[in-house]
Amino acid sequence: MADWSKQIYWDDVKEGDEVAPVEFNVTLQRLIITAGGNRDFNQVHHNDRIALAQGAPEAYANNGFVQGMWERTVREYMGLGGRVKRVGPFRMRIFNTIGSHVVTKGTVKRKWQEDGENLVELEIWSEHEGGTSVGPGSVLITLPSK
Amino acid sequence: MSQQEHHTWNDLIAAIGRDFSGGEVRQGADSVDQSSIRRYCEPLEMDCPLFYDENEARNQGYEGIILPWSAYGTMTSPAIWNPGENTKWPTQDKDYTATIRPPSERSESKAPPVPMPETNAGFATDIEIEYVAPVYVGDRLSSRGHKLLAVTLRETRVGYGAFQVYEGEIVNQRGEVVAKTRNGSYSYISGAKAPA
Repeated sequence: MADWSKQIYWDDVKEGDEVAPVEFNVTLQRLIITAGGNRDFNQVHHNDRIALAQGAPEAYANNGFVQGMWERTVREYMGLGGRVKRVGPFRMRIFNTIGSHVVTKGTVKRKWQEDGENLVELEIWSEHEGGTSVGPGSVLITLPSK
Repeated sequence: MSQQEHHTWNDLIAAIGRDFSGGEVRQGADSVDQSSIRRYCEPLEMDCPLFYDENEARNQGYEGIILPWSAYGTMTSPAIWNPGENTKWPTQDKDYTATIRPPSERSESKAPPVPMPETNAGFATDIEIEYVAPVYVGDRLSSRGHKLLAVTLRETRVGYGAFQVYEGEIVNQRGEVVAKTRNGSYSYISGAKAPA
């Protein structure tokens, strides 16, 4: 569980720092709960027959779940005082199929100040047993300073 | 023969730069509420207090509980079925898919159809979103604009079709832009090969 009492400050960030990994087991039940939550009812995300007919090995996570994995990872890194300005571009490369153990993580690519904002660009990606499934892609955030 | 079968991939390429929204603003089915945020966060096990703790959100400079940024698109989704409409499940086919009709297929819509061959599969591929403003409980989101930016024809492991990128905006009930989006997708014919 994340410790939301902690806040990372722009002053303390260094390029190359790790964005701590967050792990997700992709199960069919989880994808069904996801469909109810993010209203992506495309059956490739919860029906193996449909997924197979469309060329996928089995049902796979929808793009809302993928974005959510990235959001949770970035939120837990930047704390309550961080703000997200831009996400992407990022590409979903291979399917996050049911049974996958997906790890989403990243690094600090660069930091700078502009127009009074403390900016940090993160490079985030998701990977599982089959390789990098999503990204790497950019997430631009602002952080408070001391 | 459907209307789509009259078109070729070259028609789609020729349409790059065209806006297929018909100028319509497409409103999401529901206003943002605490229940929709909770249900969105549940499978992600995302416990950021900004999504459920009003005091904490205000302490951080927000006007109240905020919607996760990754859920903006969700809250622009129209309903599959609306009161007064015919059933969306008219068959016992266990794999039948009820879908939200695209704007161009609604009789009242001014949105033009996208000129492309008929496909039988598709999925999202690329995402780029610029977040302009927070979204709060009580807001009602809509999507605006559907401009075709790019088309790339390609055979992949799953079939043959077109990668497409569309640009749009997400606005709140006051018409204020809360996000700018570029969404990529791949529409394809499952198992098909590229023309020789």
